[in-house]
Amino acid sequence: MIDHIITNTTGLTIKIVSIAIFISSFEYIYLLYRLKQYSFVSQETISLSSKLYSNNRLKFIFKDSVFVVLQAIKILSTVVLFVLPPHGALWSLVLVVLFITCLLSNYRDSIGREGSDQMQLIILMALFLTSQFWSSELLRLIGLIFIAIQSSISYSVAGISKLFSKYWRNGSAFFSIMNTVSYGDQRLAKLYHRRKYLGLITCWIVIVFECLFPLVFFLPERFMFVFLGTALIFHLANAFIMGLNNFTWTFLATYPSIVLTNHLLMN
Amino acid sequence: MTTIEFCITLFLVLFTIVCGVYQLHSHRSLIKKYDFLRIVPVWTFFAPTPLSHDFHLMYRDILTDKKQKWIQIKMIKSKSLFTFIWHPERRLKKKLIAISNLIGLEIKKYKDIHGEIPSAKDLESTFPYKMCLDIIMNEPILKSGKNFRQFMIAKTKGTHIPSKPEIFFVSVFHQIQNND
Repeated sequence: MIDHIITNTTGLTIKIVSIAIFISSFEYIYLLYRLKQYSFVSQETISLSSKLYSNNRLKFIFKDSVFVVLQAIKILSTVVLFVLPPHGALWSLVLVVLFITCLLSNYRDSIGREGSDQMQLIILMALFLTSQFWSSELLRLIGLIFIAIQSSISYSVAGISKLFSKYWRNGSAFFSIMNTVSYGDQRLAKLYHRRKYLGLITCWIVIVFECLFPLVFFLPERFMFVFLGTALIFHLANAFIMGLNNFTWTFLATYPSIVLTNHLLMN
Repeated sequence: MTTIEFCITLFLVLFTIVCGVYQLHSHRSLIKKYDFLRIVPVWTFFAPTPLSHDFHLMYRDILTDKKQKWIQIKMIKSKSLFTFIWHPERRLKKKLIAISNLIGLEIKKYKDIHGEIPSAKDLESTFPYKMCLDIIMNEPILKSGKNFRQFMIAKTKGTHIPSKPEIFFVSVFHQIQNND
């Protein structure tokens, strides 16, 4: 029974994270071909940022053409993982390939990486290390609990660091962000400038929600789903307003593990 | 549980502890030094200091001793209806913010060591400076000949209450490599 639940949770996790990586890889290819600014880093500049560059055997990973190939491999792997059931040698092999290509791609493009890229790597690392092909049921369960804990840490750390920030405590942070072109929205900036109390309420809702996220493991099933639903709405709002599209899929991929961990603790 | 499985479990536990410690700013540089694969995450999202500025990368040429107008490299596109599923430009925005912050850090580092504000020449060999230089040198060359190019990072605040652009950093002039 538990084996079946672990397999289903793993399958759901990899399918959702595959969607995130699929979109992100196409975005990289688009940037490289449509906007030449993305293909800007010269070999000389990379050598300043990376110790790997001095290793002649690994130098090739910094070439633009290799970067495109990595994205193509990522796209192909995500399609295969989306279609295949989460067990067997082929599934494990493709997972290893996806993990390594994501690792290289992240390494090559490490300046300005996003939290979603980091979470994708963590999910893939856990699933790869605890793959069914070489792991027992217990280790696979540990891998999923690890994903759930990492997700919970990410929310609570974000909440605690906001709690220690005067900009978040006094409610000015949300207006500040909305008042930028990069992540903001002019209409919301206008509204939050006119009604200062809205900023205070929004900031404190975010702080309290993020800080209390670890409680999700100890809530009765119905409340846990309400809590996770709220988190999903939070990510969707961030995707619509701030343009952080990949966070939604990536963090959603951790929720099956959270549900499983909650079931283990509560039952 | 086999020995390998025990080692994997131990690794996952240690990784979780390291991730926790990494969030404390004071221990970050030590862990970063050994994080060869750049896999340990930072989860502070827009905290403690939220983003309040937009950065703009600009460049201008000197053609036969005549300075041209500043040209902005368009990195920020207005968001579309499909931003929630497709938004590649966010990576460019994030990159420019990261590069600008790195330049700010280089300025601070120089001030801490030398006790004075660095000139653009002093930062010429740093990583963020070279990244900006790479970007502007990829832009089209207007006229052939012995020309020079310079970049500037400007800061603006606000969409609802726009502020005057503020100069954040101006580079020295660099000779444009002409292929003809």
